[in-house]
Amino acid sequence: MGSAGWGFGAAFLGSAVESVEALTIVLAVGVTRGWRAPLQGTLAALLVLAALVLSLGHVITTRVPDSVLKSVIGGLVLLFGLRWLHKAILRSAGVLPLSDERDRFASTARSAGIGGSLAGVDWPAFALAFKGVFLEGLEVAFIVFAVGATSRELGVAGLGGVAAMVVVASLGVVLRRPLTRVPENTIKHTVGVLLASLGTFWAGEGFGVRWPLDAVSVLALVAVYTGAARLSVALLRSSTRHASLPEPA
Amino acid sequence: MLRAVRTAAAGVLGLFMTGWVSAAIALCVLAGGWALARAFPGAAAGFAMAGALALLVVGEALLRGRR
Repeated sequence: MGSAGWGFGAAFLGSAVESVEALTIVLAVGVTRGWRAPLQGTLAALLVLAALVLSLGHVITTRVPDSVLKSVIGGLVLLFGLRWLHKAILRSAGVLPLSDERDRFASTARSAGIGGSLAGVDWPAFALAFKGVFLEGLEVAFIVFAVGATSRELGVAGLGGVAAMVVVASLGVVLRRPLTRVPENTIKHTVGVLLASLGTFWAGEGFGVRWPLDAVSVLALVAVYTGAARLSVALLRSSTRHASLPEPA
Repeated sequence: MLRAVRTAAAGVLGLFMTGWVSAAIALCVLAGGWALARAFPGAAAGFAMAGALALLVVGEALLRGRR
């Protein structure tokens, strides 16, 4: 698999997780207050995000030297991946509760029940949808930009991000309810490992590391991070079990 | 609008500020990887960096689990 394939896969998976969160917010507002304002808010947020990615992406990919770009963006992708992996490990081990889209749906629906319309536009619904899509979309934009800029395949990564949003939005239209069956933590775990591996690979390339078999080394890095994650979950589960056992008399 | 911008800025900052101690350690590991790659440009520096980061993942999870 070449760098374009890795780029598409990483951008698709990362964007899918964030798109599920954004979709839950838009669905909650739409079901509670009608569809017009949240769809307008969604469209406005997507336009702002597209402008950000296109303008910043072009400037940085054409003006910054390759080694600097790979070191900096690789480092950021790595930090991003480690953060996701850390949360996914804690959730898998039962230290943190699993993220529940039904709770998020209900709390957004409660927020959407407040406020009224002004000048024919339902501003609270517009703002809630805009905020949700913009903030989750910023994370999608960051993933697309980081993956695309480092692999010099901004178009392919962009396609991965857009494909994820289209797939998730289509599911949302069909289901018209929160995507509670999407195993978010499993995806987050996988994407965390993938981003940490790609980040290490790109940062290494930027530092001058000569990886054996080029992009195939990513598979070895995936094995290293998967092993670390599994070991962490096993150790955490066993320490939780020991802590819950009664003290001997 | 100002509120939305402030929320967005806080979101972006929050992305990188959560777990800032481990992020700082990860950056130190990266700096070590860079120095090692200057001295030994083969694959060893890269895999040493990955090994140190994997240990960081395990250590951070165990520390968080004990709290």
